[in-house]
Amino acid sequence: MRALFIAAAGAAAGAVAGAAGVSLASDPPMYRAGYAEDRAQIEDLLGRYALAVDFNDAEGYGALFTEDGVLVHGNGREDGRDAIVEFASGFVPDPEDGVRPSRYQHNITNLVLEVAPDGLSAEGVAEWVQADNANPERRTEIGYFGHSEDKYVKIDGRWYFASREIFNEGLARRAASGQDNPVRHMWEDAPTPTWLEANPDYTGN
Amino acid sequence: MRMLTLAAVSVALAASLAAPAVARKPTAQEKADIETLAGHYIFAIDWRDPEAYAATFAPDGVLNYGGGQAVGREEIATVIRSLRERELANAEDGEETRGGGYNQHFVSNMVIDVAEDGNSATELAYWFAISGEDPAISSFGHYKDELVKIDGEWFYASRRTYNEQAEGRGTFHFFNPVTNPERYGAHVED
Repeated sequence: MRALFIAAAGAAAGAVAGAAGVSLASDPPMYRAGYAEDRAQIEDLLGRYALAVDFNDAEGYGALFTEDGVLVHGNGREDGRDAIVEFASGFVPDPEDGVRPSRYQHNITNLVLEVAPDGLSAEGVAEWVQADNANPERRTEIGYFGHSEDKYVKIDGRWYFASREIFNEGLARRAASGQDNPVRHMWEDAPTPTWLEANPDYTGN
Repeated sequence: MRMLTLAAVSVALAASLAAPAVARKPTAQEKADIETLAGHYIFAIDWRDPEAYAATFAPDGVLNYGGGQAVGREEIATVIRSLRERELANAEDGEETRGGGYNQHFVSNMVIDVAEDGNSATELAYWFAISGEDPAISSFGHYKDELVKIDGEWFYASRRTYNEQAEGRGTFHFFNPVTNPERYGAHVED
């Protein structure tokens, strides 16, 4: 797919001006009949994901992944549901330094999703932002934001994360700024390089 | 498509802002497709991808935004290309890295009406943007869109961006744009 996009970009001026236009995603697009139902179910999965994170529900979090699911996050990588549940067990509220326990809340939007022709796997990219009030005054702030590159599989009629790569613009090791639009690289094995991978001499956060 | 819209609405002067005269709610498939289009639009703007951005518009699409109006994919792509070049030029040594103007937009609260024939639609949606290494909400507003379906794929026939932080791009507080289309856009110069 990357080769297709590079070819398209190489003819950028002509392609943009042409009536046929530039393909928005894969060629041909994978919006087959039934796309809406798959998309609704995967949006539901993403909603459950955010709620599990925000309410420290480690088991609920792990249940969204396949048994051999992979999670790449700001501090490393987890292989398999058991490891993912253990990782999620580390989600704890900030110290009780304010008038009430602090909260954080994740919003996931801008989902670009493609479902494979057989309807059993899908890939998506989406953006996320975390609001929180983790300060003594419980003042609302934006904590982090980033995007994710996700692979989904459908098992016995239900969608799961097969893998989830989380990028975080607050962490150089997980930032994707300066990279290509990740939509152009869906269905490739390699995720978008992080900013740190592209700038290995950097020594900040 | 514009001709189709005009024919459907029949009130020519209001056509560019009014919902289709005979409109219905979107089907699940239409809503899913239009949400996907919104995702493509946002990834393209956030990664400063001019061609992918322009490809979300119809070939004769119109973008009306804080910097003016762009007509057609070439002009629309130029808006993003210029933004990208401006940001790269402004990046100072050591700053062309993680800052450099990087921000992210979020779209939600889509309200969609589809013309009875299923070939055009209007849409309202909220957006907000956050930016910076110490991220904060930098701006928010909404989109007012006309969409057209060409060969089974949805595109923006026109997108008008409202930004509550920008002079002349805000809206009246007390008129819900969903239910008061005739009051719509009073603060935006055509």
